[in-house]
Amino acid sequence: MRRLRGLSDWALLTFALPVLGIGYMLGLKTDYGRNAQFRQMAGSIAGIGGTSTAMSGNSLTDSGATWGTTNYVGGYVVVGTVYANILSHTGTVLTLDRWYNLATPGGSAGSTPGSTSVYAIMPGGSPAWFEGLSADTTPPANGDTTLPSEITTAGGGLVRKISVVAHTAGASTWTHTTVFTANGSDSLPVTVGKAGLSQSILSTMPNLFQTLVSPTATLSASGDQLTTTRTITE
Amino acid sequence: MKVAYGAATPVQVREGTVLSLPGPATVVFDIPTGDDDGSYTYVVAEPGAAHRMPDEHDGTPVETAAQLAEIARHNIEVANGYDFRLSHLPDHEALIVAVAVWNSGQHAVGQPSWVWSDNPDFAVLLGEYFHCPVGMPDDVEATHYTSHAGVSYPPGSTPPVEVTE
Repeated sequence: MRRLRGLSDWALLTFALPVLGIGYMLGLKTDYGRNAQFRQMAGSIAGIGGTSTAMSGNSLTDSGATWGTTNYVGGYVVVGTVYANILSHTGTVLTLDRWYNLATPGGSAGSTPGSTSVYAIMPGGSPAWFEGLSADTTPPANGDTTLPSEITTAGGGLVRKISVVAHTAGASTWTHTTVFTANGSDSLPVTVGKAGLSQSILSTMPNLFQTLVSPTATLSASGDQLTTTRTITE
Repeated sequence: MKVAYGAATPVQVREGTVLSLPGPATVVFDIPTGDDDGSYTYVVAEPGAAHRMPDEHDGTPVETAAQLAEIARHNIEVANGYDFRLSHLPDHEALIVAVAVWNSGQHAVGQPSWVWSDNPDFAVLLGEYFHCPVGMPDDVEATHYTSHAGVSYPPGSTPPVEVTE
């Protein structure tokens, strides 16, 4: 595992308990995360707009488009007040993770836009503010994409969730803090060993960051909660 | 739901090293609430409901923000062997995450000098939790380093406002 510095640092503070000797765990920016950072900061490729000819909950079609097959993978498309991440595409069809409401991206999926809608494929990428958990304790690797053995229990409280992003004026760092609450749908007990941050609420899109949760944390009953805090260092 | 803390001694932490920042400064964040069905977002519960004070506080029902703050403090900071990551207040994710932002030590040291939220009841709850004044100072832009849309401004400076006639 390569531990990166400077622009690439990602520290997981396992809850700032210096009096107890629990320190921080340096996390890992994946290869996908480095590519995403480049795309976020440099744009990579100019955006493009048009009018769709078909639409679904996870696809957008423009029969007159000539997008190629790689230009916009990892980017995102905006239609009205919803957006979606682009998982892959052909020359005329974008395959998307889902539609997100711009105002409540962590809530229910946004409504599917109408078939003939004005769209914009944006330069850069969407925010990486969704966190997932896993019982896996294997140290993350640069080539990781998805989170191994990610908890994806339908209706459970430990599935990917939007984090709270906090910033101190004048700081070059910021934090992602997430509270997961186990519920009756979760398979308990579970010991959480790894976490990741992604642009998608679905586990089908790669993680930009992964880190071990150290020490591991065990949730035993419905209502038990785990709070994680990550510090992103520019 | 927007929340801000006043930080008399702001810091940033890089690879475990705590670095001082000029202050005082604001710490700002937005808790994602307000979704129609509340799924996978942060719950804000009213004092009361099924919560009761810990046994050492006579087990009476929670009726006030001060009582809720007390039970939360016990649950977050004392229970689970002082492992601040673990808690059991399923109706109060918003409070837990707001407390965690500060208690992480990643933004400031000491206690908040004040707390503010665009949800007045939540601001009162945070004030009770941290035993600090509620409300943003009227002269915060003149006295604090502030952050607007992710951009930081020194005391006396604010985002430019374009006036059109």
